[in-house]
Amino acid sequence: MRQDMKKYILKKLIELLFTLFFVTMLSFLLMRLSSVDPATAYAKRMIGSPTIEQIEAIRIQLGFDKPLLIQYGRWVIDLLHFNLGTSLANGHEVWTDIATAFPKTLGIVSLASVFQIIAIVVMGCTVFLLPWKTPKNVLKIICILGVSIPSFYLATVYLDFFAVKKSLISVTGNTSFLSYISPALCIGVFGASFYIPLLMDALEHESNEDYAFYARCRGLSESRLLFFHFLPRAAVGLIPNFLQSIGLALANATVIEQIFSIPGFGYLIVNHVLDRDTPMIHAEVFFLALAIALCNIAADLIQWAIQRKKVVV
Amino acid sequence: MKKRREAHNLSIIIPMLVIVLFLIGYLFAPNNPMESNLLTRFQKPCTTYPFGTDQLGRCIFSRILYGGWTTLGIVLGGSMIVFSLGTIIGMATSRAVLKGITLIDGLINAVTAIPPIAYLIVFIGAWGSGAKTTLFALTVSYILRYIKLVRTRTDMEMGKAYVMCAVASGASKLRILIIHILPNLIAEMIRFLCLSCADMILAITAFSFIGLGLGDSVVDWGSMILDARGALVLHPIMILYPIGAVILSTLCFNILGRRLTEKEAT
Repeated sequence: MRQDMKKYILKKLIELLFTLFFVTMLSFLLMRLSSVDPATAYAKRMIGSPTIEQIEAIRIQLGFDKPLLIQYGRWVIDLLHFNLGTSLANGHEVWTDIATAFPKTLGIVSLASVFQIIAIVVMGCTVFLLPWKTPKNVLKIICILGVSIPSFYLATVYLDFFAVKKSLISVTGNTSFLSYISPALCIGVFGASFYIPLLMDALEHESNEDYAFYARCRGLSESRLLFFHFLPRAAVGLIPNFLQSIGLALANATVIEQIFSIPGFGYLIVNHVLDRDTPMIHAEVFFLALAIALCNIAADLIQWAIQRKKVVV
Repeated sequence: MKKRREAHNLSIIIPMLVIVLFLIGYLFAPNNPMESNLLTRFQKPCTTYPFGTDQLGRCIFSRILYGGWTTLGIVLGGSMIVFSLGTIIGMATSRAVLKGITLIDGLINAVTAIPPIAYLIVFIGAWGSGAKTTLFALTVSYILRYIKLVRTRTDMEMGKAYVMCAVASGASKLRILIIHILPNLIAEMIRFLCLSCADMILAITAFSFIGLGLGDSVVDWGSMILDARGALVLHPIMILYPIGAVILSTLCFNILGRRLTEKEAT
């Protein structure tokens, strides 16, 4: 069994390398095909109106004159030495900038996931225990609406209401952990309204199984059945999927951070995209892909473990 | 029973109609969406400007319609390409055709590990923002996921009894794929496309809202929301039109995606 597990993890790690290679290569390739030359952009920012010789000198200095594969190879070697170079726009170390920004995004996303889990479980279970049909249908409609409302709009409404009208939260200087709550809520709405119907369906499905009928015959109460039998089984099916959506939330946080002006990862990306800051963009793409791919691997591993267990039992 | 079916049909037809209206509505726009007139800023809704005018005196109604053409044009155009190319590639690379190539499996898994919105970030990062970039990035990222779906589903169908019967009666591989398997997959495909259309609309508007938009030369809902937000305190009603359009179109795709598969199930 251990052997099996090791093999599977190894396979997944190879896939991870594949993913990272593909995405970073894509980012290099696209940068090369781009209509805006990074050397020219850099020269314009530093010198104002550079001559052709100056642009060429900068191109050689930054290594943009080399063939793509050599540039890429150099970048990979530097990456393995934990050296990501310096930003072209503000001269900061790429590594330190990312190290300060990434935990913020991670904090928001994990808080959002906690909110989501609470909302999903509470809503799903309450509706399941209620004897009427109407709340179920109402909740389903609300969930479809929740999936359709853009989260950035929720964020702006939230800000306009709580920060501008009620002055309960501050719009600037969002660095404390408390300030993560608002963006996390706005990100969480989408996930929660996506997974509540899924949980409801799964619970419904479990309650029609044979074992549920038998348990009812034994006289177990409906709430005991729910918490000890239905919920764990339903959750097991949803967990891998949910982990994948955490990876997605990392990418989605880009927009929300921009609105709440939290200096997180997405904020970094958007600013450097506007500056065409090559080393920064490559590094950001790499870390985004790494984080998402790790979430996926966790999801795959859990799913794999569950499937194994089912087969054994 | 009959009433129920009617309601069901209605819930498919209405979203479709709304989408078509948003798509071709720009043909009937009453005013030029780009024409600004500073004398008629922030007008209330009237007969010439059904939804009023924005901070540059442009007709909001016309802008919504043109924005629909831009956004839904990208979304539907993208999904058409995804559908046609993705189906062919997905089936051609399925295990039924290419036997025992695990490399493709690994490659597809590796490539689809990254969600479409992250691809959009990569593309915008490298190429800057613009309508073509957005269309290209969305198409590429969704086509990869779509290929994965088609591949796995084709392989699943291949193992079923009816395919075996078809093979036994001498049908060629091409015939099995197109005539026997494709109709069984079409519901799943449409569901995927509808749900990804909803995602795409949200992604496009979100990015153009934070300024990585489709460029200045086109009208789109995200930048309208951004503009309207600037005038939110004095004219709070203005933001509701583009937001309403976004929610309505996303909702339509979501409902369509769910309904079309339900029909197949019953």
